Amino acid sequence: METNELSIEKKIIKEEKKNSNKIIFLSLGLILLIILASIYSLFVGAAELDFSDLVRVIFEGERGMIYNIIWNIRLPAILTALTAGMGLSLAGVVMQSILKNPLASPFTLGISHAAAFGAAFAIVVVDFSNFPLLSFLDGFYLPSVSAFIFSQLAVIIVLLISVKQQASRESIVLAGIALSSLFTAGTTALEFFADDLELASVIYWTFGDPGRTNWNQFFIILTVLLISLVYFIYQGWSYGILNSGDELAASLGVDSKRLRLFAMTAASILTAVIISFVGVIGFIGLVTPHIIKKIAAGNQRQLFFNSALAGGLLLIIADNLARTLFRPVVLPVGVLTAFLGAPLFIYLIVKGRQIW
Amino acid sequence: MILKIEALNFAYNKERVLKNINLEAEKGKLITLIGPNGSGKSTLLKCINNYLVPNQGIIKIKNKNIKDFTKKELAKIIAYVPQASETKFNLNVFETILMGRKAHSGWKATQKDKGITARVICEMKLEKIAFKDINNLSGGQRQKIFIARAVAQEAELILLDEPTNNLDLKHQLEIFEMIEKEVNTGKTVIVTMHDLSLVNRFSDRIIMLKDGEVYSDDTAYSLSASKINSVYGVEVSLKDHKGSKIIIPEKVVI
Repeated sequence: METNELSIEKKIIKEEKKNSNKIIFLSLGLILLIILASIYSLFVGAAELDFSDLVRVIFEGERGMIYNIIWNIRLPAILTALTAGMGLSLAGVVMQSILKNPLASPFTLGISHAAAFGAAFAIVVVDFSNFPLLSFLDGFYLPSVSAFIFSQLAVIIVLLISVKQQASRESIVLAGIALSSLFTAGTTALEFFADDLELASVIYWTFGDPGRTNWNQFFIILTVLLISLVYFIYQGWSYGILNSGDELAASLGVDSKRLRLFAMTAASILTAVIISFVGVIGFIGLVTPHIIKKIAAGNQRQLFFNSALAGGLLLIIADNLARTLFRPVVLPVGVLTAFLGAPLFIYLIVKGRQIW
Repeated sequence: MILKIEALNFAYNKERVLKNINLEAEKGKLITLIGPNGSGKSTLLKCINNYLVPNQGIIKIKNKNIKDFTKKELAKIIAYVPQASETKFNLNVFETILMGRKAHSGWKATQKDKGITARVICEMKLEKIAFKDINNLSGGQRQKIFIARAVAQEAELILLDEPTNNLDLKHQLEIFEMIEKEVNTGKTVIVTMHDLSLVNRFSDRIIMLKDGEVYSDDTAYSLSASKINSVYGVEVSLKDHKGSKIIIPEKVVI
């Protein structure tokens, strides 16, 4: 009897190992796909490149237009798509877990629209040209800083609603919808008063595009992403336990209040940094966690990591499509994700509780 | 003495829920808290678990004030199964029970934690469903899994809030057998319950709460019709059965 039980124990541990290996294979598969998609993306765009161009630039040290396309346009765009996709997805899966709400994401909670409004506000209203000391702010960074500030405002409102009255998941999303319409209305009002140049720049912002970043901005996104990713992977187990309710979490030694505050802060800063450089990219953060859960969720830590990877992959692919569908016109990827994401969002609402 | 409660008072807003509770719990005993709905049973468990902070009074675990423990230290001594556990997220049985090991490990479950989890799964005869999603299991199976998680926590004091609620007869008995096993290994289990016949059969000690006060605190044999009458406002008759008493509710006393 004793030995029998021991062998069953061993079998259980083996089975657990097998299950977790499956998830590791999923991660490795995603990483491989990301590498392939990134390499493919190097060749695709308004200008056709082939393999020999790449060889000449990398191995023969050729400088010139092709070098410029690869090094200053394609590579930062691909890497930004990767990190922005990962970050938005990570923020989405974290918000879904913390707010216990399958419909939560930076986009559905109104954070993205707030950022867009912030950018529009900076472009149309704020003018430092009369203040020579502050005029350096009037360049590219001002819309980003303003987008960041307004997205944090939206986060604070959502947090207050969710903490203050133990809001139901529906009411948090409804509050998000209200915030979205409010900020969209604000942006539209600003567009009404904008001159042609400002208008173009505001619209440009409301549809995100990883192609607009430079290396510096990419490195800022990368830094924030890496810090968040390491934190959420490290604390993954605790966040998984948090899903079972505060009372239970406390009895298992997990400090739910602190974890929740950290998570919302990290996820919102990550979102704000990405949106403030790239513009609004909707639905990636909402949809990828659900796709990963359909394939194989694993534990919370694996869900965080794989959702991030899948988000990066999806945005690289979407960005590719956006650049090639109507060639030579380059569509902002935000338009494409909105077209793809909205039907998926409706599907999630209809399927609703079955998925959870 | 694993637990000592001195002059405990607790109020939700202005409403006093627990009034001057004094209790001690010794090792290796099954102690049941009974009393009508709203008498303060669950609140008392939550205070012992340090989830609710009492307005007055001291709770001591192993002669040390509960406030002087970190969350993690406390989780190694006290395990708790709340009345309704949320299970919205996809988790399999193994992962759920493994959660009990969190306080014992760092950021990642060790091989030892997984070994203990597998052992508990075998002990509780859950091996057939070890990798099933807990959302696809019955309420009875889920409750067994939640108790198994508390067992994997290897805590000396286990608090169970109405563990047999909504369960069929077989699962009720199975749960009490699980509890008995733990008590026999020297753990102290405090349970809140409504089924007085089951309480009478399994408990070492029964504490009756009435309006937030301890009305009686005695062995199972001492449970009498008149006590039940005055606490619950129900007339009952007691029948002896195999050394225990079965309680049959007769009618409501106005």
